[in-house]
Amino acid sequence: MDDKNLLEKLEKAKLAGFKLDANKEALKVSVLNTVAAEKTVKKQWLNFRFVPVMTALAAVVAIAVYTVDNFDDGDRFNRNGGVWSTYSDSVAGGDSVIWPAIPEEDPGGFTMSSPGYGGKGYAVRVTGGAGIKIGLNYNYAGVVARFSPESSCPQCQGADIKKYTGIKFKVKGSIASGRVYFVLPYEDTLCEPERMTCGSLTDYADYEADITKFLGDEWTTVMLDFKNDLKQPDWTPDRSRVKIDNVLETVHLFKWQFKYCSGPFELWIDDIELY
Amino acid sequence: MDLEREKEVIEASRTDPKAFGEIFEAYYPKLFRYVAYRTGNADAAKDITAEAFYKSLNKLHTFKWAGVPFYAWLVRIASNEVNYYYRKKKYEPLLFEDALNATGTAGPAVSPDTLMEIAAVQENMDNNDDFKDVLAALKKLPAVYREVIILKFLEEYKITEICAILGKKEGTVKSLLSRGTEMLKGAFNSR
Repeated sequence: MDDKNLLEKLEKAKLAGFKLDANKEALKVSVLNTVAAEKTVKKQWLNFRFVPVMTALAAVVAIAVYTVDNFDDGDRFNRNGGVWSTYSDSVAGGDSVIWPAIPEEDPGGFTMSSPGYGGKGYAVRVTGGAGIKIGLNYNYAGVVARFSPESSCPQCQGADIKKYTGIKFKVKGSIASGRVYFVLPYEDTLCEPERMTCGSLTDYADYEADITKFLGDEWTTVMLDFKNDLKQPDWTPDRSRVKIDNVLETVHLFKWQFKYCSGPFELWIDDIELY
Repeated sequence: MDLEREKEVIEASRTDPKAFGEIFEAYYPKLFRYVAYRTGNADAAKDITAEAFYKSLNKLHTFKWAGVPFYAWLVRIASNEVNYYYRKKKYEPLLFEDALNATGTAGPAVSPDTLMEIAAVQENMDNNDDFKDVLAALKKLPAVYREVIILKFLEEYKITEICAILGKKEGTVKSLLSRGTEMLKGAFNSR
């Protein structure tokens, strides 16, 4: 088939004469009513929270705990089915290395380590070395837990965790230099098909907390209040500044990232809960 | 709808979802037809279009106005859903159905008219042998080429409009079109 034939074929393949008025009207009414109802439910919930007599009930809600992963099963999925994986600047020309290997090098190769906290079960353990080939301020490596299978491409569906005050987890480990951050990324609900990633809505200037001080030979509990302990970096451009509430409404993943590092690092993580 | 009006509608819809009705009026048939081109299945097109409209309104707080028609965002959402449809070999508008259940709102009304419209679309596609040939050939191409060929040759968008829809640079779109048409010719010739 040559160009002329192809164009003729495509011309004849065009679909015309769609009449969809009844379907359009039916869907329009349903979608608009549904989203309006969702907004009403949210408003009622906010009003409800400010009624003093309900304070005790609100407190009960606030102390609810959700286990993201306790690693007892030793598989590479958290409680929601979201997958654990590592990442590093090697995909961007850097020379950082991390174990377990990044998916580009070993798809499905993430393995848990043992023993976890208390000498039992499993935990996440990542180890490796931060290279400085692409610069100390630009190199990176880390580990990520997708919140659920739907939070990845192609669905890129976020989860609303606004009812929780914060996140807590146990850590131990060491780094030769640099910092370790917990990061709460804000991702798009659209998949970028070419890269098969849910795009960053903050240009990667995500809410984060420096947890370096908690690293050591013994397990230590880290408790991070989403609203008080997480901040966007100082270098965040105005266009990327977002309210933490918006991020908490659409959570796709949690990250633990080594930054400004050179040399070896090791990080263990166990018993992750939203509180 | 011109861009200025569209921007006003989007801003109003952020607080009052009912304002989004104008977006339905402007884009429902176009988006449905685009999904029909991608799937060749009228029922799937109906469900995917529903999910795309619901998702776009429900996630409007994440939408950043960039001076391009809102339709571009709708196509991107629908396109992701189409990819999901091909991966799963079936389709259910999960988010929309969850929202209907959670709010107790009635789903889209089913009537003889709605059923006949969908049946007519399917018949339209089934009776067009050239469409069936093209769709079968397109299915042999990676999704990104399929998308760009449909937008250019079946939906007749200009290159600049395709760039806005796909969020890609002109050179990239031209290159995808060039390689895509070669691959499509190859797909026909290999039959």
